[in-house]
Amino acid sequence: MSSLSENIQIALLKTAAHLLDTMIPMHYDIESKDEASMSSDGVSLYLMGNIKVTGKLIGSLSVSIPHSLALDMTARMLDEPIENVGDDVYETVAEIINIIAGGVKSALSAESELFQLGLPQVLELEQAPLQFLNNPHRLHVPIRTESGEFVLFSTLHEAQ
Amino acid sequence: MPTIMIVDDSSVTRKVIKKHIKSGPYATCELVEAPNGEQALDTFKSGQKVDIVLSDWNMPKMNGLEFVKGLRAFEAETQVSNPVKVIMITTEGTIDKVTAAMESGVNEYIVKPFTADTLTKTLKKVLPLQV
Repeated sequence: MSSLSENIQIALLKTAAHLLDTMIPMHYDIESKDEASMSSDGVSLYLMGNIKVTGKLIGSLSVSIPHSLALDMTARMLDEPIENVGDDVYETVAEIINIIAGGVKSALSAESELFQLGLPQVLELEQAPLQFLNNPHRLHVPIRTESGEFVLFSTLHEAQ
Repeated sequence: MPTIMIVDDSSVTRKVIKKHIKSGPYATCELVEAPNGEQALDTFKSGQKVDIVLSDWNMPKMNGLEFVKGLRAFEAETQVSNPVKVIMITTEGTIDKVTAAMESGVNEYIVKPFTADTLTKTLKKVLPLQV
């Protein structure tokens, strides 16, 4: 693994842990190896939050969260029961990837801005995101929580 | 009663901030909201009294930095004697960003993710509680 990938992976893990210690309080187990069990849940709907990155590094940062976990994370964030995948859940996923991307940017750009972040987008998907699986710059980091697993993705790489 | 304006394009984030304020020592403050800097600035220009602004940075239409610059320009034009205090709440904590925010008139800076305790402590810096 390259130095850049290692730094991105560390930043993803640290930011996710900080998020789960603060705004979305839940128990978690961070698995740092570069293999995620994305298909372990079988065919299930999940939400994918994505932020495009431009600058000296390009690519994107994403999170995929199964519906059930997204509902639970939204409920914990708002401190109220959430029963349906609606606007609040979509916006929570957007805010999660927003925070994760901001954490990665802060970690990699300590003094000067190395890249710019776009606005988050959230899609509902039924299968693994193949565009990430086939990307040579792909890095994915699973985060296991008491309510299920979500996966962070990066395709960041140096612009040519 | 002091008024706090929450400026964020994410309704979930606005709800989280409201929840933290309403469960803490600033619970009696009046809250107003705006989904972007443009609408927030229009609210000021319409004469809405606001004591503290909690603003996101990355927003569509007008981002938080542009909003703060516009707000400070409006305050200068209208010769406001007591400028509103602005707390930027954003995901990016690089030195470049913090410096740009402070130079544009931001008073305090919170990096997400944050806790209710962090928000309360920062509010106390700009609006000390009356004993």
